[in-house]
Amino acid sequence: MKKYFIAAIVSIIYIPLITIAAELYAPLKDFLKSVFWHHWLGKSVILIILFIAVAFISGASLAKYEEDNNKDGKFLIGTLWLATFSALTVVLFFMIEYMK
Amino acid sequence: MTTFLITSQILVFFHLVFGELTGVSLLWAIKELVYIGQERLKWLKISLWAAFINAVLAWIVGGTYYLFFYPLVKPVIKEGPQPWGHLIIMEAKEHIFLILPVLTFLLAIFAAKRSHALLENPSLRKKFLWLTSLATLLVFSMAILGYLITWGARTALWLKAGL
Repeated sequence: MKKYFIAAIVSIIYIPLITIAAELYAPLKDFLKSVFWHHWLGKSVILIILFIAVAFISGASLAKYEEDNNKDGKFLIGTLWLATFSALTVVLFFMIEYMK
Repeated sequence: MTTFLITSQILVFFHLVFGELTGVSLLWAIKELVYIGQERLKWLKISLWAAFINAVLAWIVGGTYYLFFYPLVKPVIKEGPQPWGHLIIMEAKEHIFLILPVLTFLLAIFAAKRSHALLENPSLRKKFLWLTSLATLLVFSMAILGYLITWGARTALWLKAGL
């Protein structure tokens, strides 16, 4: 289960990072458009690839990992806070950009 | 033009339907978690896989609308009296939405692999319930954000029509 938590956490951190980076650094947005036709499509495709790749890599390196209720509980709460922070960061970023 | 309008309306309709079904499936999962029992584990798993599948369908259908039809709506909102409908709300919605397939998949796979731990460990179940509740809140927030975007578009069109 740990590999899915790690993949979810990396993916949830990636979302505000790519969003803000692409808005502040135009060449990144242009790169996404040139490769994927639309920047949002690029962000979506990268998200899927990132989740699968991180799950695969961490799964291979955690082959002997045993399930642990305490660790899973910590991962659940960590994911909860990260998702909340990630969503709020995106909203605040666009609010600040609008008010500039 | 007619084909364009009908197709765009159908896509928005199904984006909304799949989005609401995601929310309803998550509410169903919350109910199964609150009244958990051995015989309910099957329904917990089904409800969370239903949430994930509907989130993916809402992503595909909404994405198709966003990529092919929304570019014609965007300037209407931006040039209207409520440009924040696009500049804040749509920009935030299209990116926050991406959290949902990740969260719903995580919830579904956790229930599939660790359902007995959820049954036997109240502390773990409570934490899982919190994460499921956050996913539910995000889904219904998407519906409100969607309403605010159409508010911006509607106001701009009504003013243009002389209302």
